[in-house]
Amino acid sequence: MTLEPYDIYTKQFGLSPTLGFNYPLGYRFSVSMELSIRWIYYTNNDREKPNASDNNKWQNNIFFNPLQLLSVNYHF
Amino acid sequence: MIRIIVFTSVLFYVLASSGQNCHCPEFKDKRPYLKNELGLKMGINLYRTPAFRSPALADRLGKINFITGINYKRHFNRNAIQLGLNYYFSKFNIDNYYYKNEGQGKIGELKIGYERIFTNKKLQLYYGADLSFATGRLKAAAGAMALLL
Repeated sequence: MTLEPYDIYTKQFGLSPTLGFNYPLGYRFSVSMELSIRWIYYTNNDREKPNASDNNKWQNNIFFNPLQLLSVNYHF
Repeated sequence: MIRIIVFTSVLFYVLASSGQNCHCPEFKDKRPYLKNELGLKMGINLYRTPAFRSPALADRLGKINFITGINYKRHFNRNAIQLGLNYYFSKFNIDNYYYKNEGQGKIGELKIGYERIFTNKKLQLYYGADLSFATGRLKAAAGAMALLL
């Protein structure tokens, strides 16, 4: 198979419903975990192929992306 | 991967076993309710690099980003608004019999969102929604057998 280079610049607008929990670790710290689904409205522009038909074409898609699993929080 | 899961589990257990108080308004602790929250996103963040040309290949990549960004939340009792900045970097090299994709991707993201807590317990469950704008670059080389494309 031959490899084809691509150099894609992307712009994305997203909407993400989220479900998560937060658990306190003492007075000032907590950890949280969350799951989200992301609907995105995006466009790609492949600079290796400036004449490609799908360049700069707005499309939409649904991703489990990113699936943010853990964060450590400081409260003040 | 297993080391990261074990490390975060142990860290979570050690910190959780030392925690007695809560910043939430309903908890018994009478110390001042803290309205501001600064979060560091760390641990396991699965990030999927966009597929090359074909939706059939969209699920084939998954990367772990150990630290992806910071998040600020302002609490109003059960409600909160949040503002986040994320940066995802993934370097990938997929090579198998029928598909090869090698390169790197970078995406920066700005998020603004709303959350609402719906439990009264120490473990606070919440739901919410985020609006985001992301921009990035994916530079790589790929190829696949004809039947996949």
